[in-house]
Amino acid sequence: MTLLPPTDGLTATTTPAASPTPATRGGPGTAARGRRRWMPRPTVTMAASATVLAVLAIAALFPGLVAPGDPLAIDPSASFQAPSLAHPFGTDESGRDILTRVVHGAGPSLLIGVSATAIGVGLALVFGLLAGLGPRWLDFGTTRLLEVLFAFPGLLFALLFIVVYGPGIVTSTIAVGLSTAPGYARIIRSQVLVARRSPYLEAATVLGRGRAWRITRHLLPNVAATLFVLVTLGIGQSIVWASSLSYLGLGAAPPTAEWGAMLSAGRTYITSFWWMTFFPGLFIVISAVATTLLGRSIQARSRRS
Amino acid sequence: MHRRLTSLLATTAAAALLVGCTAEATPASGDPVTGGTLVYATGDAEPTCLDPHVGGNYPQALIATQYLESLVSKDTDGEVIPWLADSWQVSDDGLSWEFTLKEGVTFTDGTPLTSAAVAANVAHVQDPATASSTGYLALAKVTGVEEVDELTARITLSSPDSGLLDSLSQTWLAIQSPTALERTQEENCEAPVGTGPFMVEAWDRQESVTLSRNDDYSSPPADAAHTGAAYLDGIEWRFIPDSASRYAALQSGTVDVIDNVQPDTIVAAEDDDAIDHIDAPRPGASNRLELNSSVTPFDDILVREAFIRSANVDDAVSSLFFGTAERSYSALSSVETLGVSDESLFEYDPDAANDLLDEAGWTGRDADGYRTKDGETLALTFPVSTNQSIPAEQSLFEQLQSTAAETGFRVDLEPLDLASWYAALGENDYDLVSAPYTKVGADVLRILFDTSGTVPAPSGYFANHAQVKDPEVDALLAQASATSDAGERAELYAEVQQRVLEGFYILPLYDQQNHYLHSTDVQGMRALPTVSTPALYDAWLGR
Repeated sequence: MTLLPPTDGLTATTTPAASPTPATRGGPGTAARGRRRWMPRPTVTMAASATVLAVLAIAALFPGLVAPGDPLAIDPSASFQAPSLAHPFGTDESGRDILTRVVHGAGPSLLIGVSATAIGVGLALVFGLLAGLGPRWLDFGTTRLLEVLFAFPGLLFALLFIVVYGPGIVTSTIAVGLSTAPGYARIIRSQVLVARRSPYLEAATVLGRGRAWRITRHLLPNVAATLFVLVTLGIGQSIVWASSLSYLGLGAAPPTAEWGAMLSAGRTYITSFWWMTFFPGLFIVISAVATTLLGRSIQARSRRS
Repeated sequence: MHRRLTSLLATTAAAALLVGCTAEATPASGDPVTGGTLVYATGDAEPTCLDPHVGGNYPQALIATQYLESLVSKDTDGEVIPWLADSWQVSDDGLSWEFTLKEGVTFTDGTPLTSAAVAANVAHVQDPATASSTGYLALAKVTGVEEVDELTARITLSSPDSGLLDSLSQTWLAIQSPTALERTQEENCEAPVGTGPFMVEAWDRQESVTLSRNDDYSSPPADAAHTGAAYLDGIEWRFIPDSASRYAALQSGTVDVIDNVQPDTIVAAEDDDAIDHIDAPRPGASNRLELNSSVTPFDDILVREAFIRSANVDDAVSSLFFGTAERSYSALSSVETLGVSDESLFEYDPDAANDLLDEAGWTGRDADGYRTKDGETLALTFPVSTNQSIPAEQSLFEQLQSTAAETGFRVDLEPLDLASWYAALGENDYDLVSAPYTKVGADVLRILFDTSGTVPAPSGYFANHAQVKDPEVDALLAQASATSDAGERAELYAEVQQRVLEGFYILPLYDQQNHYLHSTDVQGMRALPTVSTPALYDAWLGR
């Protein structure tokens, strides 16, 4: 029970990354971890997904560079136009250019995904460390709490939060973050438990290092490797979840350029004007797939080495 | 002798028709076929109560038309025709109306239709515990019902009401079994009992209502195509809120009739030979934005006019409605013969709008370019009911938001579900609102623009959202309602409308859209000429 929960696929596969092997290779800590991550050349998948993400990041940070138009500018005379040279992704019901909206929507959509993951992982780190390092009763309490939270399907938990605190971008981000936290926390806890029993940490204890030193210099860096994979995988999931919430009308409000909200607006026209849903949908898929592939290839890499 | 001859002729003709029919390969049209269950998919909100006396909104009327009936109805020419009442007589002073009921009609629980039933229903609607709004407001002048004899009910009024018959023709004032009304409200909401061609069998929340045929039905309105029981075995009344799914279900044959059809879908369905379209604009008010004149900034007529001049409605309507909706310049629906239209008051003119705002003192600009006055931003709260406004209409509001922003208005659209939307209106937390109001006849003007319309009905709902409180309007409305002279009445109502339009309290958009699409297998379906709800009594399935 206090050992690894083997039911979780992620835990099982990522365990070697933080297993005591680094210690035998000349010492724990940042050096070994860094070398392991950057040693081999990137695979094609890794390069491709990193490129896609870089492009998306540029779109998110400097949307004006990629699409100089105004995502909210309406032109009723040009409504429902099919993709053409003037409007590569077509126009929506108010004649707004969908390409411009998709590009300007990258910011809010990705920001929601990234910050939700940050909230989720941040909370998970606190819970995981508390459970993994604290006294037995604290571990017991935290673990039970996580198990209760686990009983709720994640999205249901997010919906519950929104019902209480009202819809909007901020609440839906927090909601997604909160609902992903229990999953991360459980993985982190198991990593902490493994690391705590590792020879290098025992060595540090024997050497008389303080608790804070052991956590920041030995424990966290080793847990971080797993965390990095989790985060990349999690962002994709969070983007999809946040889009789902906007799609349900619980996230970004119209006429904000946000992918989920755009999907929702185009939904009623799906039989007549496919491009209104296709392109925002495509970008949700692309960004989720790219982050997931990147995460998986990093994961696979760390397992090989 | 004569009668026997005609019946003989009729039988021969029917036989001939039958023969002619069976000889043909396609039985799609011809004589009505009995049997089959029609599946109706509604996109309107699911009622919280199936008794339209309670509250009283359009989704309730849609379904209640299938199992409840009114005292009178109207034909397509707008003439009042007999339904549960065979005839009626108004006293000389206009203060009492005698209705003679049809003989031998029973409610589906076996209770006979008598004058006591009429009295019980009026009392039910007027009882504050019922929490009625639409029916309650329509009966504002009714003081009581006297049971003259078993089949004669005399409705007494506090002052003459020229709109009484119109009011009584509506589903919100349909006559229910007095025995059933004695049950708790919860029970009555679950399965109201009427005299209609169908009755409520079961209600599976969020899914459907099952209606079955009333085999003893004997009270069709005077303009129905047949007598006796309905052709359909029953109706499955499904709730499918998503319009794309609703249309897909119709195309695949899973459902037979859909309502709340999107404009692009109407256009697409025109090319589909297996689908027919019924366009039945609702009577009463046009679809319009109401400008809340009780709070800043719309307590200033200059700002109201500026907003109306800044809104480019025409372009929005033509971009979103594909020619399925025509721009309105009237407070009333185009089916109302007494409607007054004044296009000149609603022309899009941003320059004029800017001048008006300057004049009204909204001369400052904030960082986003919105106008300010004494540090206040010119912001308008606009709660939008996602249940009552189809997506195309919500897009229209976004476009108005965008064009109004050019003049310096910040419009905050707030998509809300029906309950939150009612709450926002109740708390006077809105500057703009689009609230459909359906009522037969020009008397709707009294409900929408009389000062008394700002006082909530027992349900908590009030209909004068523009909060027009103009003694002149009140006086004109009272006169129009009291006069029995049709010409004078028309003149008075015209004056009221002109005054309201010139006060810039409303921005008319178009008729309340009410489109039905049905499979060509469905024959004989029509929209009731009263409130345009679907009448399926004469409908049959030719498949």
